[in-house]
Amino acid sequence: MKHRSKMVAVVSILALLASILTTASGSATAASKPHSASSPPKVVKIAWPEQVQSLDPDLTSEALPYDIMALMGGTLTTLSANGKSVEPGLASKWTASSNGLTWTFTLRKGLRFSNGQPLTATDVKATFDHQRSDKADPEIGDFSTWKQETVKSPTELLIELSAPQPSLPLILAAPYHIIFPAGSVANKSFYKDPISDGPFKLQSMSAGGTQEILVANADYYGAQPAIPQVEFLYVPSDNTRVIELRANQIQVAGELAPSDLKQLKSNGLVGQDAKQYGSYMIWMSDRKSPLSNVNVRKAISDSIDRAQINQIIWNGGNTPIGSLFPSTMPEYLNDIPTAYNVAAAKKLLKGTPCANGCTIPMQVRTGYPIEDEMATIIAQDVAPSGITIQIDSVDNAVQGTNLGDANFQMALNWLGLEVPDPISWLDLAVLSTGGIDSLFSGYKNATVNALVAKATSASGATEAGYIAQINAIFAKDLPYVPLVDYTTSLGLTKQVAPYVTLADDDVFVIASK
Amino acid sequence: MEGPRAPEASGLVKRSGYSTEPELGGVSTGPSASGSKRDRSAVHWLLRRLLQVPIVTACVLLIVFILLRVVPGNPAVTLLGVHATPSAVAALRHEMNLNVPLPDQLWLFVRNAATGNLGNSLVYNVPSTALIIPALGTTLMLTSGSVIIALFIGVPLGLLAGFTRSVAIDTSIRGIAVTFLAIPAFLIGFVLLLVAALKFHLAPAGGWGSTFLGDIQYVWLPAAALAAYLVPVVIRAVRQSTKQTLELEFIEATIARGVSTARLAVRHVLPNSLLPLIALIGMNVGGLLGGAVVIEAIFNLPGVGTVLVTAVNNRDFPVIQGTTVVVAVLVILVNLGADLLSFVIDPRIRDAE
Repeated sequence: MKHRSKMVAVVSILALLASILTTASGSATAASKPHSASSPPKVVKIAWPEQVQSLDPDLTSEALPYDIMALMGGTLTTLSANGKSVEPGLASKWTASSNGLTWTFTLRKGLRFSNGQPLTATDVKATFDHQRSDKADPEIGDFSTWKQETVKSPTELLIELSAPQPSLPLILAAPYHIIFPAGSVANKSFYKDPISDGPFKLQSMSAGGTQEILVANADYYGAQPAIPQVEFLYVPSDNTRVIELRANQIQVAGELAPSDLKQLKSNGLVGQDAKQYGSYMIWMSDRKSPLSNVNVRKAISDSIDRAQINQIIWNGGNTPIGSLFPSTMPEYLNDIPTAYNVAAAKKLLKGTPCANGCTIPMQVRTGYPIEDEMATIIAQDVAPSGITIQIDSVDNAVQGTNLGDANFQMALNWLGLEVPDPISWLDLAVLSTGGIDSLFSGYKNATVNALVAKATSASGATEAGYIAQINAIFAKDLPYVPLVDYTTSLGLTKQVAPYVTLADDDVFVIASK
Repeated sequence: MEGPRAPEASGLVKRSGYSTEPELGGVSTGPSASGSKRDRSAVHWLLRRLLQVPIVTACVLLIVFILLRVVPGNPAVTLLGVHATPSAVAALRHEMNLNVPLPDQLWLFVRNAATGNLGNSLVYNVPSTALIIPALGTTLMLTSGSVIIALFIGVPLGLLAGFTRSVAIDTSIRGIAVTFLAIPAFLIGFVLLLVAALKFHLAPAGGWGSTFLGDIQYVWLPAAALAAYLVPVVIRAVRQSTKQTLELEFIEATIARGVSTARLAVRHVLPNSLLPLIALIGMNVGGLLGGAVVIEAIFNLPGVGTVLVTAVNNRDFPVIQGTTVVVAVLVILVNLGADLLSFVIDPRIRDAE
């Protein structure tokens, strides 16, 4: 009897274990079978190596929160699919006064937030007032010429400027300028579950930002999305994202190593290199020797084999650049030599502090395999010219602090924008009064500052003329060294690939029905 | 007929000198002078160990607090990005109360922690406990799962290696143990993901469920990966202990009575071999939690390791401090529990104390 009850207990435990494993097996198998139909799925799961810190546009600068904001938030204007022009968003039209100091934005009729509440010009004004007054807002520079906004009617807003800002409609297309309800915009806790006005609305967000579920917003003014639910999941490991994609547990894997794409394609998946409005660079502090010497900076630039970097890391799929601007922006001008030329580098080094060799430390962020690989190639490339690059691995937070404190000589990093606005780029990249000291370099050029100020108020050919002059000065002074375009690699299942794209402005676009 | 093991069959009884008391069950048979003296020493021992908990926790807390302030990097920069202007960073630092003098910050943290308030996450603006507690559940499930798997695999193999007279079997088992010990956890994790999850669909390829049963579907594979660290330790301990037990006189007497090998192993050798495992597992909890950080990242589990790594990357001081304190207390308590259990059921330890 005792034996028998023991047997029964053992069998029961084994049966329970078997049923659990069978359930696990069943669910995994179900998930692993891709749908054969070409119709869009009901849900797309996007895995990203980032957690959403905040959906408050004033409290983030990361790609993933911007992706979510772009899907759930409405902006006055939007970027066209090819990123070349500005199109209506919440605003159906906009006009500038002849002197460029007053802009009138007219909202679409019948706009509603995702809770059904009407969206009016009052909400737009409140949102901009809040952003302009928040000193911690990293994008506060976008409002530097703003004087005030006036609500002319529920659908009409006037924006008065102290100086012309022709790029205003373009700037307002950025995902961090989404419009929130007037009564909530200043409330910090509102952003844990924000009401929105884009094609999607937030259904849930985990406390640590590891999972965000968006569902189609029935109150959206435009066409409904073809995929009604989008889930963003935090999956830190690159390899795990690839495995989950292959198992069809996720349908989009972001921020992959470019070398993963070949493997994906051989497994019947889709791999994409999406170029962004940004570029990888070696940021340099020009304040101290030897990098205060322009010839040393140029010698480093000449001795970097950008084509090799592109070949090894991106299998030739990226673009080596010798330009202040990335190749994805119209202002791109490849006027800095990009050919690997050690002889020219050695010639430049004559008479400099590095004439007989020198060692320069370069801070490289840990956890970014592409930057790690790039740093190794750069150090090997530059060595024959007599300059030893000492790679200092630091984490992102340490590098951020060191850059702000000018506690570095060289740092590998990238600069990118959400919208291809050349003025925003110049503010960050070469303006010594732009807030981050010409991309932390300490580079000060009064002529460049004056040209940026002129370009800010100009448009069309005049603006292009100023920017061309800035490009030329940049190539001559080379305060830091551009390398290649900033490119994001992602993998998709074949079923979702026709419906999900990563646009040049680094945000996901879900096709409409 | 099955029956309780006779006291004379226990090698422990003979060795520890408690020849008149059946001590192996851990219960004293009656009051005696030596018994009450032993009880008093047990209470002293317990009090001493309990007193260590707040002292060690306070030391951990202080060290973490100081280290965090020494290491460069601040949460305002990580939130706003490197392109944020210094004035924006300064404004956010002010909002986050990071400009408060350090002694005041420390006092505030200690005062709040004493009441169970570990502060609000600087990044997510939610109580740190809202991030740590659910994650702790995941990590506990992962580590306890790995202990169960390690025992399930390690004990039979250790017994077999201890029992066998075949050099080939013993060497093979020890070879497997050494190999597992040498392979990094992340590699085992990826191999399991590729083979068990992707190839044979035995488990989901990472992620986490939303119910207890659902969680088990997800946890067993990472638990198996984490167990790879503990299995060799268990094998070696059980093998060693088995060999020692087999050398004892009562075993020879039991064999002479014609007891089968299986019965000898299960009824007489195994209980003695399992005793050292309690302390061993207690000591390895810290290592398991360290391994869990890697395994959680590979299998995408929302555990304490994930919370801690993210908090460190973001310089989210309250969450780092809170997680460290919680993990430290957990390790101390598990060690204390293991010691207590060993103390209760192993008369040799009581005697030593």
